[in-house]
Amino acid sequence: MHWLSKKRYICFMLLPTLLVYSAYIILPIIIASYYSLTRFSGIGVPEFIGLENYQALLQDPFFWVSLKNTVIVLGVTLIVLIPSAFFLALLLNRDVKGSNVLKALNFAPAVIAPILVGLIWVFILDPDMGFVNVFLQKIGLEQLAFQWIGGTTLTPYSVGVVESWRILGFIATIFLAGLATIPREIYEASDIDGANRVQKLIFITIPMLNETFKINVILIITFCFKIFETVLQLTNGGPNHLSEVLVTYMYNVTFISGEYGYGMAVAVVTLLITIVFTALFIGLSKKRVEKKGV
Amino acid sequence: MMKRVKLFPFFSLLLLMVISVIGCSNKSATDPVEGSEASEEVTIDFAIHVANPKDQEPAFYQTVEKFMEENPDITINLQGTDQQEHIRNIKMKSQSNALPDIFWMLPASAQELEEAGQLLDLTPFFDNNPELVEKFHMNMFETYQIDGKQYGMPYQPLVTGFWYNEALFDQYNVDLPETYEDLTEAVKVFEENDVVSIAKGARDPYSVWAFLTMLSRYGYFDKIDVIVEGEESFNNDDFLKFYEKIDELRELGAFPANITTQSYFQAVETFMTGEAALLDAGIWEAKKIEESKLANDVGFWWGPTFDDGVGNQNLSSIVPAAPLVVGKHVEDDQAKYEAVMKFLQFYYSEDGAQIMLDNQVPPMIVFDGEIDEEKHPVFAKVVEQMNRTDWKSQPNQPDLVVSESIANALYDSIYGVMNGIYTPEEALDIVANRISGQ
Repeated sequence: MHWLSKKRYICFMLLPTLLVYSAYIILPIIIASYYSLTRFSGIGVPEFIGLENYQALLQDPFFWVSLKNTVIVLGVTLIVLIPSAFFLALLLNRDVKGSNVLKALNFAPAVIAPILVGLIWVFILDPDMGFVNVFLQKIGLEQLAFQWIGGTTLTPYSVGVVESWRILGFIATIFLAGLATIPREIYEASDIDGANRVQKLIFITIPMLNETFKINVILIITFCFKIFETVLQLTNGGPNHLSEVLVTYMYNVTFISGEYGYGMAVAVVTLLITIVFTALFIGLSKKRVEKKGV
Repeated sequence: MMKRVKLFPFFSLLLLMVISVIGCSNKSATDPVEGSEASEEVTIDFAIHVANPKDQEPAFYQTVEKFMEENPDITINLQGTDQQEHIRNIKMKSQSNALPDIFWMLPASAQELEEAGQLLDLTPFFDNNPELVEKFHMNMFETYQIDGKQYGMPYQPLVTGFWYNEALFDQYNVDLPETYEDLTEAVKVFEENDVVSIAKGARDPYSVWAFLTMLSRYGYFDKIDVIVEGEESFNNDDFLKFYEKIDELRELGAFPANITTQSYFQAVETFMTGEAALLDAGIWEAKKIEESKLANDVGFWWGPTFDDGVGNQNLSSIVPAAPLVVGKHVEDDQAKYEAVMKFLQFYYSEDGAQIMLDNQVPPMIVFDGEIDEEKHPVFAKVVEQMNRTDWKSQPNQPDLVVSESIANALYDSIYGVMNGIYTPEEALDIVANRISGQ
C-alpha cells in the first residue's frame, strides 16, 4: 500500500476518471456555454452575439413559465416524497414475513422507463378518457373531475405527483439503507430509558438520518431539474408551453425551433439554477448543524 | 523490481487502450473503398425522416426497391429515423462534414445547408436532362433554387386540406360547406348533436395544414417577405381577421374538448371512427381512409373561402414537400455521383411517378398515369379536386417559407387560439415577436 500513498500514483490512478469526466461533463458544459453566446441554428458557423440570448431569456414569458413549473414540481415532490418515502422505509424496515418481496415491489416504478411512466399516467390523468375522471364521474363526483393535465394550472402539480410515484421506491431504498446503519444498541438504551415509539423516531431515527435526508433532498432537486420524458409524454409541454419545465423548454427551443444558441442559454441557466438550489440547501443545512453544535 | 511488477497492470491497461483505439480508428488503406472507381458496386447512403420507410412511406420505399432491382450494382442504404431525430442527426453531421449522400431535409434548413456550401449543385444534372425539366410542374421545380442554382428537389407533392365524412353531413342534413359562413352553420349543428366538427390534436402543433391555407386566403404570400424583412408587422388587420375566425370557431365548439391532450394521430382515429365530421390533414391519409370502413363516405375539401379575405379565395394547396438534397461530397466520387444522378432520374421518371400513383401519391411531373377509381375511390376524389381548374394552388405552404423558429411560432399561435389560451391579438404578437427576435 506504500506506493499508493504517493501523490503521483494517486494522480495517475485518478487520471482515467478525470479524463472521462472532463470529456463527458466539463467539456460539453464549456461548449454549451460558448454556443449560448451565439446565434446558431445547428448548421453553418455560429454567429457570436454576446449576452443577447440571456437578455432575451429574461424577457421570454415561456422561460419564466418553465421555471415556475419546475419549482412547483420540485415543491410538490419534496412535500410528497420525503415524508412518504421516509415512512415507507420505516414500514419496510420491520422484520415481517415477505418484507424482501415488498422491498423489491417498492422499487419497481424506479426501474420503469420514465417515458412509459408518462404513458401509464396519461391513461390515469387524461381529463377526457383518464381513469381518475371517469371514476369520479361514475361515482357522481363530476365537480372533482378537474383537468389534471392539459389545462393551464394543474399540470405541474400532476407531474410532481407522478414523479413522486416514480422515484418513491428509490428514495425509500436510500432511507432504508440509512436506517440499517443506526446501531440497535441506541434503541435498546432508549428502551431502558422508557422512550416510546414517537420519541425514538424524533430523538434517534430522524437525527441519525440527517445525512440521508440531505442526500435525498439533493437527489430530488437534481431529479426535478432533469424531468423531461414524463412531461413530454403527459402533455408535450402544452397547451402552448404552459406545462413546460426547464428541460422540455430547452429541448423544444433547441431541437424543435432549431435555435441552438438560445437553447444552450436555457441549458446553462438551468445548470446554474440547479447548482444554486443545491448549494443553498447544503449551506442552510450546514448552518443548522453548526447552530445545533453551538 | 518490486515497482516494475506492480506497474505492469497499468502498462497492460495502457497497451490495451492503445490497441482498442487503433482497432476503432479509420479503415486501413487496404480496405475496399465503397463506390470507388475500382469497385463495380456502389452504395448510396440515403437518410429519410421516418423510422420505418417500408410502412410509413411505401411509395418512396417501393421506388427505392424498384431502382435497386433495375440497378443491381447500386445499393441504397436507407437510414430511417423519426423526423426530429433525423433533423438533429443531419445537423450534427453537417458540423463534422459527414452528411449522408442523399437526404430529406426541412426547407429552411436545406437552404441553410446550401448557404453553408454543403449541398451539391443539381443544376448541371437538369441542364443535361432537359426532357425531365419539361415534365415538372413548375412550382415543384423552382421552389428549391437560389440564384438559379438547383440545390434540392421536392420529395413528394404536399396536398393538404380537410377530409370530410359525407355520411355525417347527410345524417344531420348539413350541406357540405364552401364558405366560412357555411362552415360555422355546420359547426352549430354538429355541436348540438355532440359530433366533433373538426378533429384536431394540439400535442402535435404542426398539424394545422388546412388552417395555414386559410391564412394564405388572407394575403400571407403578399406580405410575408416584407414582414420577415421587418418592413411590416405580422400583427396586421388582415391576419387578425384570420385569427378571429379561429376564435369564433372555438367559441362555437368546432374543436374537440380534449384538443390540448390529443395528438394528431388520435385526431385521425376520431375521424376514422366516424366521430368527427372534418379532419385537417393531407393526401398521406388517403390509403388509411381507403382501408377503413369510411372509404365510400369520405371526400376532400380545400377549406372555406372568406368574404373578408385578401386576393383569390379559391386557393388549393398542392405544393412541393420538403426537399431531397445531395451532399456536396458526392461529387468527389465519380461512381457515387453517377449512381445518385441515376437514382434522381429514376425517382422523377414516369416509372417513378407510376409507383407513386400506385401508392396514392400524386406525381410531381405531368403524367397521364391511370388511377383505378374503384380500387382507390378516396385517392380519386383528391385527384378530382386537384384537377379543378377553378382552384389555384398557393405557391407554397406558409410554414415552409420561413425559419423553423417562425414556423413553430405560427403553429403555436394557431393552436393557442384553438385551445383558448391566446386571444387573436396575443396570437399575432407571438409570431410578430418571434420574427422581430430573429
